[in-house]
Amino acid sequence: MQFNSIPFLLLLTAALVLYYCLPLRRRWYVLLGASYLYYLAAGAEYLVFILYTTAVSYLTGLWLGRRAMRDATALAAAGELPREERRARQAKDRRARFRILVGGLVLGFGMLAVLKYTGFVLSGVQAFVPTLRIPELLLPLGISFYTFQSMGYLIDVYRGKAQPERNPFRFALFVSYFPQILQGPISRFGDLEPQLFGEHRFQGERFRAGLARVVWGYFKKMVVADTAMIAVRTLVEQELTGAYVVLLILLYSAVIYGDFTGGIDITIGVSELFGVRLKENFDRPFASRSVKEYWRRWHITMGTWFTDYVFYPLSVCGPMQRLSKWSRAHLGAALGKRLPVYIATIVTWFLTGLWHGAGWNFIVWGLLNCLCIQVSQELQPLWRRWQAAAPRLCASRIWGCWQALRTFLLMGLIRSLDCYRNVPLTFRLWGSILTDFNWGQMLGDLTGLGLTPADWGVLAAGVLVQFAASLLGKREPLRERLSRRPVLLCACLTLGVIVILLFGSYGIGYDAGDFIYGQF
Amino acid sequence: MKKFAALLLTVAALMGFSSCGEDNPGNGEAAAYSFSFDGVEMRPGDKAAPVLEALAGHSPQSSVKASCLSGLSGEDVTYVLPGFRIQTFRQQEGDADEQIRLIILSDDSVATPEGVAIGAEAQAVKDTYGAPSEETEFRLAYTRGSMRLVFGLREGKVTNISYEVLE
Amino acid sequence: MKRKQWIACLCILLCGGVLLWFAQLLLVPKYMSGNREGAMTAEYYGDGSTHDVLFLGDCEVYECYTPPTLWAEYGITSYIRGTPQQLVWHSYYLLEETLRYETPRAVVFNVYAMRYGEPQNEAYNRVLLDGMRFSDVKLRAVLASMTEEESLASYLFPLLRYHSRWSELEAADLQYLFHRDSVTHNGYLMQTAVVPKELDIEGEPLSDPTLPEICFAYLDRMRELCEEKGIQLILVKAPTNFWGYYWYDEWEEQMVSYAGEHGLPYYNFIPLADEIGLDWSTDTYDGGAHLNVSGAEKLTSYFGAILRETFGLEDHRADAELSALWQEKCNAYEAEKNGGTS
Repeated sequence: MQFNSIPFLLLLTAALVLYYCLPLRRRWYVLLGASYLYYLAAGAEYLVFILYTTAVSYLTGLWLGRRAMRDATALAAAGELPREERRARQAKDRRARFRILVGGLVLGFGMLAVLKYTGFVLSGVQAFVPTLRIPELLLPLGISFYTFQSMGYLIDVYRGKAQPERNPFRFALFVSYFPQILQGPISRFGDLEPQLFGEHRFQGERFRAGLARVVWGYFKKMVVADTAMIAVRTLVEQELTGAYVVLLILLYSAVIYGDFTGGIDITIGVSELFGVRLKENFDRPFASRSVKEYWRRWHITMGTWFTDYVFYPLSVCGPMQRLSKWSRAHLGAALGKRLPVYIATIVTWFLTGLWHGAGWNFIVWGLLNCLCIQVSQELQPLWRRWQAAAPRLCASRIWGCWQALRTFLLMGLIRSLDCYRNVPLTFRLWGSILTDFNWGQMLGDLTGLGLTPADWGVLAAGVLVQFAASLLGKREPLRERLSRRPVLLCACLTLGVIVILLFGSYGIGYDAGDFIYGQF
Repeated sequence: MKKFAALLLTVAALMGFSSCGEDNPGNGEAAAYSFSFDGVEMRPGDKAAPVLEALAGHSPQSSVKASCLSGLSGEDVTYVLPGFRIQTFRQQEGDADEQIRLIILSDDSVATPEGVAIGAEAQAVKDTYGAPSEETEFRLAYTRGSMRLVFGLREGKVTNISYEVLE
Repeated sequence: MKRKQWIACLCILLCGGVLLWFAQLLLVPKYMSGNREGAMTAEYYGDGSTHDVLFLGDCEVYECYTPPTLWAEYGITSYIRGTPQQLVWHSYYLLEETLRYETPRAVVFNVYAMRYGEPQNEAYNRVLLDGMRFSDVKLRAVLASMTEEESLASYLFPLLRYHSRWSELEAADLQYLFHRDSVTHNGYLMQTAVVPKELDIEGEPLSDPTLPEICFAYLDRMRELCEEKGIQLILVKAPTNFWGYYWYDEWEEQMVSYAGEHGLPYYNFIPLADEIGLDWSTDTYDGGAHLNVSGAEKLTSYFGAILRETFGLEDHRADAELSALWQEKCNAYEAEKNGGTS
């Protein structure tokens, strides 16, 4: 059930009406029912997988909680113990709980790994064993998102940051909450639990802000992203070179921005209609001045998930600490200090790439991001010297614009791996930018890319509107300001709906409807 | 708890198998059936222009079937040759992508490259081509890739032979 | 929100609704040139008069029978509710809808559509269904007809289907915003060109000669509806037998059997082409697939005699009001015929 479909709008309307009719304490039942209905609409065969992940993480969480309580009780009952003995007991208990955690993670991530990566692994093996048959496995809707969210919950319970949820239905809602299951944000249990189960009274201003956000999301997705996608498809299918690759970078940036941030706007907006507040997942990412900053502003919840659950634990784990000691002793203090961090960074980005898709292009994408960050890190002394040499320039707006443009183009270049899905082809096409920059031919050929001049006009206008909204909303998002002025908001929403209905790329003949991140 | 973990692992393994779909056929499929006339080989799905050019010496007669709706693009064309005919689909006259959709053997003056002609017994077809992909009272069909060789039957005898593109 | 704000918002929403309604009127195709067939369904509602004979079916009906000829020679009033590749369920729902406006003496159904057991193409659905007035019949027709890619919402709000036409608007979209010109003569779409039939070949081999069950189910419903209303249902097959629209012996057997089983008259005009006087060098506009006006007049003349002699349909030429109405129609018909446009 796509967000931009009549059945979804009908489901949402029915859920909202029922939600606000029920007593405050029972309202989350509606969210649970709507979430499972939404998931069923994707295919009944997928239901068993989300139930499996829900059951594994629910039971493992309970087990961890009970074990922690049992250990604490036993330790208290043991009375005054010598410090060493107390520490030893605590370590032993922690190791036991760790084994439970690992079991849960293996079962949870194992299912994701089998369904998502079997084909990828076996296709590699097939190169050596040509008769090997690769089975076609189902890929349940949103499996990456709900698996990561559930496994994050387990780690939080293990760390004592979250209390295990005892009510299986409440937990099922946490895993399956329908606005975010398709493309996030990846929520933490501690953040989402009070939102889902808190008693939300109807608040006109919040409702209006949610509506505004939903319409804005549809505008970005249907008018800008889906229109640009038509040209992107042509560019990719025909493997056009030179200036066309630059055009693809620009267009795909518009696509991914409109599609992903638009989808998140719809997600967060729909949640706001129910009074549920989700964490922001984007913060004007194309205003970033460096790759590191970009990843603090783009897909924020994914970034923090990998940082909190992969990078930091990996950086401070026993083997890494031993490596750090060894490398300081044998490779010098400077390199010795860096090596564990760089290894942890590489592993994190490798996994981030893999999370995005089962393909070498995604892995290379992740590693290239890692490379940019690490090179930038190493060149810090050089940047500082440059800043000291030209302080006025570096503080100027022009310099800031240059940094943002440079970062935008670099991220767009790396992102094109997602379009071409073939690493050697992508590198060859990157090379053609320098060897075959046929910008004149490209400009004259714009209507041959599947878009009429009128479509290009709509696309350009849509991008400008997004840009203007971003600039105007620097201090406070426009929708928040509009939510305080109902009549103006109503006019803007009405106009927005008309624009979407007239100029959106939807219906028969447009098959760019699926959200890109929905496949993850 | 170990038993519980073992149970969950078993369920996980079963889940993995339950999610299997159909196997990919992979490489190594047999080549499509083709028809040959006067040294010109043709298959459904081929571009029509080179085939028609090669057969120009036989002066094929043609007939166009336009769509019922005047604004809908695309037309079917049939080219009649001695003993058989070729049916194509094109967007308009002169379309370089005109594609062969159907080859119909209309009388026993021609036969398939494997030697089967109209009038043959159904058993002879099976002896020549093996077990069919589809068998009914009225036809034997042999599917290969995106095409199908069909023998129409009446009272156990072949009454028509066609090479079709699978939709 | 204060009361004034609510009222202001309601006004804004109303204006938005009006704008969208206007946009829909502007963007739906008008079918006044090019695909004139798309205007045929809606044209019926502008006629207003009643008819003795209702024709249902595809191009074998709306290009093979001419109501002005039926009037001129026999004084029989008729209307053809035909559309391109009209399927059996389309015909059934059109019949059900038409019976809400009038009750003809006879319904003539061309059986070629019995070969299609599934929705074929969005375009053929659109040219029929978009022209139907909104009603429960239309709703059921849409639900029965939609292909997989279509949605009910796009039929209820055609703007959802035609929104992309904003970049292809023409003067005709504005000119025909609120009205349409007639493109047919009581449902007959005139073709005046002459393209002789040169090839006489059979159709492609049939994979399954059995006509679909669903077609017989809808034909049963048509038959029962006609029985209920005291209407004579007449099955026909047009005299054209082109390789691309071939009528197979196996299908003929099934239709003869059905007609016999239910006591329905069935006329297959293919073997009667000579008797009708059809000349395939002059009476077809597309190499034998369909008749042009010359062929259609011959067929209508032949069929009119059957309607008069076998089914006793009256001659209304003595009725002054009807005469005046039909004289106008015949004048327009002759004007187009002599003008030579097709």
